[in-house]
Amino acid sequence: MRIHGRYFDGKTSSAQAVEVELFDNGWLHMEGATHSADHRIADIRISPRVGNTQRRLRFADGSVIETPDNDVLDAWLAKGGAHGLQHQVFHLERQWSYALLALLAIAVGTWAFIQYGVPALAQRIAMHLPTSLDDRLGRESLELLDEKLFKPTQLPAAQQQAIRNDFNRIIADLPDKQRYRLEFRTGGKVIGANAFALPSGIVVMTDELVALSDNPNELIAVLAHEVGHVVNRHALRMVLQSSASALVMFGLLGDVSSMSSMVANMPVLLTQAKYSRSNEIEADDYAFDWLEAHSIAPHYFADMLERLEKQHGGDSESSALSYFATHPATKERMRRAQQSRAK
Amino acid sequence: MDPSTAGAVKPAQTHQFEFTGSGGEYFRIWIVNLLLTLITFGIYGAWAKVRRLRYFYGNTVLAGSSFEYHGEPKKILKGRLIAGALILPYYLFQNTHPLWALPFLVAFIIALPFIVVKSRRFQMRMTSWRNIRFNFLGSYGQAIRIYIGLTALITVTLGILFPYVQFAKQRFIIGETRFGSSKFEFNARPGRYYAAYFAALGWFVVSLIAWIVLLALLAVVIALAAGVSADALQNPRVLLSNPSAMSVVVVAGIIAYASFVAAFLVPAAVASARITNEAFNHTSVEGHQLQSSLLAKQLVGIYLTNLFGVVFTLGLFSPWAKVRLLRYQLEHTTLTVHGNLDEFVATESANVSATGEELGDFLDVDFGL
Repeated sequence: MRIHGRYFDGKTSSAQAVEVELFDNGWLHMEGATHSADHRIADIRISPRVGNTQRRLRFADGSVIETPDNDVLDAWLAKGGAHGLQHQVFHLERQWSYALLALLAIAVGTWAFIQYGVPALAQRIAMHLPTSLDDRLGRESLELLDEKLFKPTQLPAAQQQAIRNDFNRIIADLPDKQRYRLEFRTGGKVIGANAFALPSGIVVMTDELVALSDNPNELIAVLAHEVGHVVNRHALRMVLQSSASALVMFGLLGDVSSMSSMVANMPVLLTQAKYSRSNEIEADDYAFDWLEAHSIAPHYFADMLERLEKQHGGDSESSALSYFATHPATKERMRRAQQSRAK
Repeated sequence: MDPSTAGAVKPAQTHQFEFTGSGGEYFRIWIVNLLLTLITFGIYGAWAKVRRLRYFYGNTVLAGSSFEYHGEPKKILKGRLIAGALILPYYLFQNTHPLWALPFLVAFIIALPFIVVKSRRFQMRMTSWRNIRFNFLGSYGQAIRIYIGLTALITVTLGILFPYVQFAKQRFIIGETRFGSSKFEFNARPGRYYAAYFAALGWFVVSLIAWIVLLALLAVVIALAAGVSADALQNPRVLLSNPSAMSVVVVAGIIAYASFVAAFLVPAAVASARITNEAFNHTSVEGHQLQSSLLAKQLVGIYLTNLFGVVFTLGLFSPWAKVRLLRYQLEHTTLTVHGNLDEFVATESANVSATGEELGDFLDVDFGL
């Protein structure tokens, strides 16, 4: 086999055209105008093939032959068993079919990891982290909300106490029950009927939600759902999940210029919505379990959800941050609530 | 030797840089190496980097010889592990105890000149042409003066010194680069850097005005499309309760953001074209002269089409984007040779660890090139 190339001695940049004879026994002979030599395959460092770039045969004395004859050289190396692992990579890079397979594998793998792997990991990790982290997440939230959105509650003290007694029943068996606290506020036009939990254990319920209820058990169901969010460390898990998703996206697209950073953020935002839907389902399950364990019929939860839905549907102008605007996956939750009612 | 040509001056010969690779070919290399990197949790990334750089260097051809990248994957992996070990505590502290992150930040700022020098030196020594290696001989002292001293003065002079500092950085980086034993001569004029940045600033103002006009038009379009009055748009409650208005607003938001980025590209292209041309047109080695003839107009076209391509393909277009830009830059760069290219001579050089370059890579150090 024969290849041609240019010989550079490594001392100056002068080029010398050479013919190279490649023998089956692993020897090569190079012949140039002023320089000729024989070398054994084992004594030559051959650059790995990348695309169709010029290949280098590097000799022990630092001199080099540059050659474009990649295919012939590869055949000779194959005969001599001199191909390294990198040559396997070259074969993968060569075919469009492998490239498209790789693309598919990356797309599916990434989707599966973000859809299933990240939430599972976040849940495991969150359960081992101290609750002081959750506290820090919600620290200034209530002050801020009081400043901007809430007005003080108008509920009579006796009614507040009655609901608080129910709340205490819900948290009675929790190991860290001293973290939990129930607060009442007037939601006003912007918030209306709503209830939510801060990661530190503070649960807020608005007067409008209380007014909407027909039965104390309905409020118990809602409170149990909110406690479910805190017990399951949802806020912390969301932070972990979005950081992980962002990290995965950065790892994938980090090679790409900053122009596509917007593209990188989109999937993270979309997965946020997905994660919070599963959070709502998990909190619902916590509520259903607690109601069942304490012999309260689950239909109270369904009733409350239905009434909240009617109120939201009927009045589109007010309550922009009402219950249904802030708790996603409502159709799904209603369906599950109604199923539990049939039990 | 023919007596009739003895003593005659050989005519100057102009060689154009070529890029012999393609976007499709690079895409295959990029995607396969990406998969291997992911399934090895990043370890293979060092090998991927070497293949990537070998592809780009190897397809950059001057006078029949391509450049060669000599980085070794194992050394790069080691450099990355060390760089990561140094940087990880900083990120951890930044999120948990921000006060403890402060000494790390200060340390990084002080270390910047060292990172720049080591990084550039490693990069140059890992590059060769016709089996002669490049080198970088810039000293830490010079780097400290420029990357800390002059850079600090930028804020003091309210930004007026910025073009001069960019000039100083390029003079340092290019002027201390060696090819074998040959020195690069850098004779660019600081005045041209000021002209470049002023032009860019002018274009930035024009782009900003155009963008604001676009925003106003968008607002009108939203109002018409959603059937909502323009001042009702001011009321967030109206928007939140009207899903079709919301989706139109979201789309408009995306257009606004994308056009803002696009508007930024125009001044960036103007600055880049002018400065690169000025720098290259005044760089020579052993009397051979470099030339660059980039046009801002064409750069903007490439930047914009690359941006749209990358965004609409969720990043898949990026290998083509990279190749397009590089091909344009190389095909507008030439070397005019007086004499011949056979007379460069090599020198001995010691080994440099890869940590410097990996740290520079990690921290996205900008050499001002």
